Amino acid sequence: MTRPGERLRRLAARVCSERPRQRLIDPAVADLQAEFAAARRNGSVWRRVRILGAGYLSIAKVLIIAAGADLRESATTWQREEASRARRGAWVALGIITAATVLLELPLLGSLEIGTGVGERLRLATYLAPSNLALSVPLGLAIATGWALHGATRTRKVAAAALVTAAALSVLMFVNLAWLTPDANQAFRVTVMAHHDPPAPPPVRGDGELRWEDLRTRLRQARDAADRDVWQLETLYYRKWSMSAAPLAMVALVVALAFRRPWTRVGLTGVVCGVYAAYYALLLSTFPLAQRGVAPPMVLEWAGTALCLAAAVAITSWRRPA
Amino acid sequence: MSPRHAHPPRLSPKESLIVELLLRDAELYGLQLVAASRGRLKRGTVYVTLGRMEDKGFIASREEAPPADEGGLPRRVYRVTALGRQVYEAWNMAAAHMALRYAR
Repeated sequence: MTRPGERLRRLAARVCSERPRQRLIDPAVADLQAEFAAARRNGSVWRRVRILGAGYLSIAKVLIIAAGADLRESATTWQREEASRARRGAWVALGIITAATVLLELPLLGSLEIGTGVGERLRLATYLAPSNLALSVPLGLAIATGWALHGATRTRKVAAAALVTAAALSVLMFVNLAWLTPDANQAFRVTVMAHHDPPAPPPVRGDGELRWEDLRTRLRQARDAADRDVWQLETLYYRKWSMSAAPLAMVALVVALAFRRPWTRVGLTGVVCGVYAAYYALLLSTFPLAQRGVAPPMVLEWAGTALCLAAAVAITSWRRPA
Repeated sequence: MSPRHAHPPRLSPKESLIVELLLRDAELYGLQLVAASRGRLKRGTVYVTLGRMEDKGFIASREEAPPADEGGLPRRVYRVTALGRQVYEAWNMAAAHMALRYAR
């Protein structure tokens, strides 16, 4: 039987160096195992469950602190190859994000039946960019991480840099989806309406153009009034959260895959593209599924991101065959 | 004076509490410290604080033998060092002195 905490110890072996593992993680796991063994001898089932819950949470917290400290310590000692890989990865990410953002805009811009000049179309393209970044950033980051971590010479420092970048971009993504995208979408609609002949009045903000605080207010009102369309607002609300976490979830999964076995660059890029395609397909299917009431919007919207994160944790802590 | 102690050693409130508990009970596990602190120490951060204190030389630790009956990892038990005791006493003395001075 596996003793409690062994899986987290294996995870720690992948993300921490030996010293913090021995000094911080092992004592926490040893205390949990002793406490659990005592509860098994004379405690109730609920007591054991409570011990496991509290123990795992505390060890996870110690693990995050230890991994962060490790990263800070090693951040100043980059080898030339590591720095070069990280630099190349950053360029690849930037290139893919830019290309994907532009490609996602072209169909909509091309379909506009208004006679605008190049400058005006560029302005409209700028308004569309924030919403497309929510899709292009996870893709660009994931592929770039795969490029930087392919082969047998992958290093923890590059992986850590990718994870930190992804975490920072996840925070920025929330700001983007909560405030920037609604304003940019509304600016786009106002500009398009102004080009109609005769010019139409500025449109009222729709649900997709609501800023974060307005969306929360509208959601609360819809819930209080038991509005039958509340699922639409809930879908929008949870989508903003889950898409914000998507860069971190994607990169975590790529890092976990990269350290499981050495990949060729093409092989890992292919797997990353496959994972992203599945994530995107799931994202497209959540709206009709929520409409049919298959599952609560929160579950559907978080499904893709949560699956990526769960897979990353499972792959990282999976015991290697002897 | 070694570079580590180029500045006078300091004790944070949590570190002070840990030293106090260890002076009372000689040797304790991390989890026992959490229980003895009555909620002032959290099990998610106590090991990090203990690791930092060990780096500063305020406490020392040793691994016990692994439990014979159920297996599992050996537990780590902590005790105060002479330096930790000195710093704790000096810190308390300074705090008492300041309190007296500001009370006037």
